[in-house]
Amino acid sequence: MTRYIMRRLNLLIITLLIIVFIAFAFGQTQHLNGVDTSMNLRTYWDFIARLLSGDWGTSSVSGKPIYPEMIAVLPATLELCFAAFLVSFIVGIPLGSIAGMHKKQWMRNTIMSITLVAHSIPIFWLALVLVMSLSLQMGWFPVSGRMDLLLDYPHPTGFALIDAWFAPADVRDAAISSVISHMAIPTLVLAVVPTTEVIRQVTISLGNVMQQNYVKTALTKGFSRWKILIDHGLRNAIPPILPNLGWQFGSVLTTTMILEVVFDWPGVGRWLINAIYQQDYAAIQGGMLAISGIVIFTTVATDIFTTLIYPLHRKEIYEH
Amino acid sequence: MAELLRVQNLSHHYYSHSGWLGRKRVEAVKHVSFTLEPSETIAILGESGSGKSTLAKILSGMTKPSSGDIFVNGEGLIFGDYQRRCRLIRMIFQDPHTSLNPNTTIGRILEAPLLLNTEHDNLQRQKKIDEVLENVGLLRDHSEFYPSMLSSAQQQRLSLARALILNPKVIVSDGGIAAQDISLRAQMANIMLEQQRRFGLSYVIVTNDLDLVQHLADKVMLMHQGEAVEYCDNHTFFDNPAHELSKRLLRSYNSRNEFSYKSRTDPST
Amino acid sequence: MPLLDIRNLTIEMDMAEGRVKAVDRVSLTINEGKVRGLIGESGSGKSLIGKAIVGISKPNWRITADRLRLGDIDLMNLSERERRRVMREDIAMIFQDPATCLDPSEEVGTQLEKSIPTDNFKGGFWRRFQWRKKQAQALLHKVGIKDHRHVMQSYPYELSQGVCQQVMIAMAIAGKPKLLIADEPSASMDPNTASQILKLLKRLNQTNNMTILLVSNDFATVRELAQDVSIIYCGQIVEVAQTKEIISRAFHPYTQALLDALPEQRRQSAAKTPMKNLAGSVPLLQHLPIGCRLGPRCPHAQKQCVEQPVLQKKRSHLFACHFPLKQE
Repeated sequence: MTRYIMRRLNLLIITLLIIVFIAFAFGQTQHLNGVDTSMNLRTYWDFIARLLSGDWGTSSVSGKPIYPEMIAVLPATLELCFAAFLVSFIVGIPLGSIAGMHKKQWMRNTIMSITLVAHSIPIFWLALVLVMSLSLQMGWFPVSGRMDLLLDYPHPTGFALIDAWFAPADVRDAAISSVISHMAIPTLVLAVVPTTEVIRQVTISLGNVMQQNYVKTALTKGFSRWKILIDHGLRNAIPPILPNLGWQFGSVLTTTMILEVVFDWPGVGRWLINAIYQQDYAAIQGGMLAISGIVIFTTVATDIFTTLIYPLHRKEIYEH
Repeated sequence: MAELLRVQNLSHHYYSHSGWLGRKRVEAVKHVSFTLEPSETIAILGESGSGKSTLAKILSGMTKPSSGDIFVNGEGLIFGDYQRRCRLIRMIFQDPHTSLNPNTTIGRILEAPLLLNTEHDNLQRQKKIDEVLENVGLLRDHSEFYPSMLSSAQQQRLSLARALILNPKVIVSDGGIAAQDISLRAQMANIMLEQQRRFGLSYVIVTNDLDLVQHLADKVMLMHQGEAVEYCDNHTFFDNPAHELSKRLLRSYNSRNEFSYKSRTDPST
Repeated sequence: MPLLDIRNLTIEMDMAEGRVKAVDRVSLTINEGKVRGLIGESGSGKSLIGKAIVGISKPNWRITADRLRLGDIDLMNLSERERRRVMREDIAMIFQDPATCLDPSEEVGTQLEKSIPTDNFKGGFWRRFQWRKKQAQALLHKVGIKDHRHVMQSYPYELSQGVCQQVMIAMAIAGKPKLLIADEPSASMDPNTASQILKLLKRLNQTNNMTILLVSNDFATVRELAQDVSIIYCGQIVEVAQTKEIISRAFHPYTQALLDALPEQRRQSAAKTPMKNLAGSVPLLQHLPIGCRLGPRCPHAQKQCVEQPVLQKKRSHLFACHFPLKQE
């Protein structure tokens, strides 16, 4: 077990080193990392040491250090991603379960067709359509931004919902509702792709599990199909697909960065695209490092998590 | 008679993880040796996890032994030298449903080993395929069929045909003939016996079916936790086994066979 | 009155080739406290009968029967809810490959505890937890597992086949069912383990008066426990009698072929000589012959065999053959 985790962590570290090397090489060609532009182990090591100490370079546009600026925008992006994933689980698991149960063929077909349609919608377009209809025409949701800037309360974590939750009592309700209404459309749009993925994976995985002998045994014991779904079905269907969904995190993060421009969301994507427009190479370098780091970390973390909670996954490791 | 197959001190171990920190060495096969002459059959018995399947895998070249040697006709077999090995030792797999490619016709399934390992031209290959199909009791026309079009009995025959097509000296069968059905089991056993008589084939049979062992085997080896605890000829094993485990195995086998109705206490009659 | 009473059970399946009678007018009865063996090869429909009794079916099956009763319960006309209650309380079923019949992601102890009905427990919910654990341990002891702590904490893949089957039996008897259906409980086990499992079933039958329907593919397994046997071939019952009677005298050629496969019969011929058996193999459901379904494989088949033979009775011995074997 420990050996397996060590192996995964090793993988994490090696991948991170490669990513850092790419960023380093990019920096050397753009003269971002000081005077010495030679590429050797010593300069590479110096670069890593600087990164670890929190010195991620200085923006050539604003003249401010990159690291604190990035830390300020990162939570907005992550919050959107997490919310989208949460929605995709809440919507995807029940729908995937219904489709995977093989109970009613028409239900399965309907769900799978809707999934296919949703999967093929261009996200960018959907975002604009929703803003035009729900925000501009109906006026139900704000057009852009992350929260009502008129409300005044501290933001210690940078995660808007958490901050609003712990806001002073007089502004708390207003803060929470403002944050949620701002988040609603971006989250929904962002959740479309992972939801279709969750539905598809749960359907396939559950379909397999429901064919297994232990499900048949449970049926002969007189349990209802729904009880079996909860007791045996999801329990064995969800863990194996978690690593696959971890892989999805990367693409969701990329989508978020595009959507941030549409919704004027003050996250790392908007920040990075601004940096590209302004040819702020130090910021590009830093943003790229941070995002790829997060993606790699999530992927490895879901893998380890799955191993911890799912005994069969553990068994597979024993056998190799 | 000259010995055909000599297995010497074969061992296989792997590492398994125990608990959160532990790593423990598992000896799947421990210093197993046996010899087999042409037209002889050895049966390997053992509970699940006794290493008998690992031994079969080592013989067929799927698993690399940690140490020990396999000699066929006095020549050592090297792990990875499939060209030579598959002309000498062939394996019948446990489950014909999964070991036959469903998208390939039977003719092609049988042709593949010939293409890879012989210099035969088209006509010779076709002749060989017809011959081997006939030997296992299938028809020439079957070579146009797909595996799914055969019954499971015929699939069993087909996997035997695939093993036979390169005229090997030894066939390793892991659970292949202990097929579920009685008539199928007898048919397979009869085909195997027939092939043995005609071509002097030797078999290594991994099974739990003592009845079949008694009928087919010349030698019996009982494995327990990787070790060969009993290795003797058929009669010694069934009449006078040495190891406690063999005795227990035979007791439960015989108690089933010498079942007497008088001992039954039937309260209602 | 028999505990299980099946009269003319027919299971038809809709397949690409049309409707096929996978089980054809099968009748079967078991008296309370008895063991009946149901012997047939794979594809004979023996497992389908078990499934019909517990009410598991697929959309393309059509199950009809003149009578299908368990005691005074009519299994044919039950609502989904009542059926589940009957399955939970009155019928239990065990299968082959027990390791795959246990949920691989849950500890065995938890699964066992879940199958213990709590309806008859009086007392606070805080005691229930302890009580269940005690019950589970008692059940494990009952099926011959001494090291209950280890077994309860293990996952199924960590246990051997035999232990898994013992656990399955423990789960099956947890609800004190009236009928236990054992579907090839010892298939693909080594002789030691297989005989342990059969001994356990025998003990349950003798000491707890458990009624068992033992489904198997060979006589060797069945004759140890079953007082009566039914032989089924391709969905049709070919012979029914008491076990000792059928072994001493079989009327149907198929029964005789099964008996020839018994070790003591086989031992009468020398080692390495061809084994006796019927030619050919069990036909696929799509290609069932008309008349007596054994016809094409039967050594004694004649013209008349294209007509379906009816079950005829000779004292308590039933068989369906136009040309019954005459012995000695």
